[in-house]
Amino acid sequence: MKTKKFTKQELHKIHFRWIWQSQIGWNYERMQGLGYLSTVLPMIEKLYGDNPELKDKALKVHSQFFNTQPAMGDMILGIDVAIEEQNPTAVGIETAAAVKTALMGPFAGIGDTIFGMIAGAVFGSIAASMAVEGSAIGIAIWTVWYACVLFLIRPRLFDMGYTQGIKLVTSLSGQMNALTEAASVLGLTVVGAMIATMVKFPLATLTVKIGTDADGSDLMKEFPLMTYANSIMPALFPALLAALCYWLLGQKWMNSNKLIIAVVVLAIVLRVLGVLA
Amino acid sequence: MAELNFFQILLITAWAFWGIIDSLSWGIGMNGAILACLFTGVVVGNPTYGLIVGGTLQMTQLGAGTYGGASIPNITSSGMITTALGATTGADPVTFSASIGVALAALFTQLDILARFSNTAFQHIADRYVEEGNTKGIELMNHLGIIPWGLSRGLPVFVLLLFGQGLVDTLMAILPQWLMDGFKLAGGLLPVVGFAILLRYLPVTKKPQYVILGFVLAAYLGMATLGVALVGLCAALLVFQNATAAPAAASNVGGDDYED
Repeated sequence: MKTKKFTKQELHKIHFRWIWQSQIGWNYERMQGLGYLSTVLPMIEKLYGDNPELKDKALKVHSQFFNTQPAMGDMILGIDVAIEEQNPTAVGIETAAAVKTALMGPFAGIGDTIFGMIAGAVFGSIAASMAVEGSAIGIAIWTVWYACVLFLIRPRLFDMGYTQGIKLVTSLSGQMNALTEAASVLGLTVVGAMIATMVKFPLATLTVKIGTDADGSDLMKEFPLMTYANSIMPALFPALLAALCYWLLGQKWMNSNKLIIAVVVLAIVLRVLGVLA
Repeated sequence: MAELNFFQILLITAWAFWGIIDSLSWGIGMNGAILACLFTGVVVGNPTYGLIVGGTLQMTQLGAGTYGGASIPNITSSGMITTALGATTGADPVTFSASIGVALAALFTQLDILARFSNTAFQHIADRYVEEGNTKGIELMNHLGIIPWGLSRGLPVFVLLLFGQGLVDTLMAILPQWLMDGFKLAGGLLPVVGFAILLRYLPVTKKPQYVILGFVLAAYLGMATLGVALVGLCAALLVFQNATAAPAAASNVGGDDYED
């Protein structure tokens, strides 16, 4: 069988298709399956265009369920193209399908942690804290990060997948876990700081009648709740509330929408009671 | 107060429509609440208002994402509506975000589900094209997904900007002051939800020391966010170096370490 090699241009075109098409047809049935199939159509045409049987097989195999984090999908796509280019047969197609299925879950876990949670937490909290002060610098920094992901990181991920092929999985697994672990450490540190600074729990100063003066007027005493709380620990209540919310989210009957509503109700009740000012 | 003109409504709607498509593809951040609200603020002539609304709502969703195709509160569409209607009404941005903004974001979750569901129709047609070997048709069906996706964001923004002003004016007139004050306080409390969601995703039970480190740096020493992030980066580099120096140990902590 004559070998069909992809040119650099063709490879970039396929990768470009993935970036654009991976999720625009996302649906509950196959998730990114339709996007993946549409992405690799030029590959199928080039490798199996002259063999109707293989083309039919490839179309069916690549229309199966697929879902991963899109940037990590770059790598899977690169590996897939490398496998099928080297072995454009029924066996090659089946190997590629197996690799896709095996990698999408673990890669999604890594990608969601790094590109979703950690980047979202770090850049998001910097951008949000500056935005509420009326500054757009934080959101500018975040946008630069997005551009880096699109123009620097994602092409690199695809190239790594394509050039190293299936070898990548074994050589990278240790590093990937280390990277995810390190990113989590950064995320945890930032969240700790954010709880202290961004959750505003402005306790009121209560004025309570504690008795009657000799001349019959009320004897009042002020209780500066904020001072009391701060003498125990700064940001005591934000920390307690964060712990409570963390616990609540672990309960089966709770979700983020309900929790948001609960916090809004709590704020209103505490305001009415005069505990918060 | 000033009314939105039709051209402004169209511009904001177009950004909302395309923002979700951007987040599904290039991902340059158009669908982020802060940038979308800033854009809306610029269109209605009050960028600062947009920044405050976007920032307030963003804090309820830090690091949250549609992982595995889950639907989350849509603070982007709700934030754009909040900015446009709020800036023209003159309501306090934090109060307005914590009331109308939060309520709409929760409501719009359903539209995300509807879009993801609608696209299954295109999937079924694409399946027929797979049988026929019609590659042009497959590609078309994938692209048709843009319509439900875009409408799920653009339509509510368009409708509420067109008809929402009167509703908001009425609401603002009848809501008592204590309730408004409560909403404003809620705006300051809500970030806690964002952090709690985030901690659920992070290995907080395995590495609580880093949360404590960040908390102490900020609460006791008053260090700014960027400074704490740099300290966190140092800790992250140490962890990375240790883990890659001992690959055998690193492979043991992988996988299920992040599931809880």
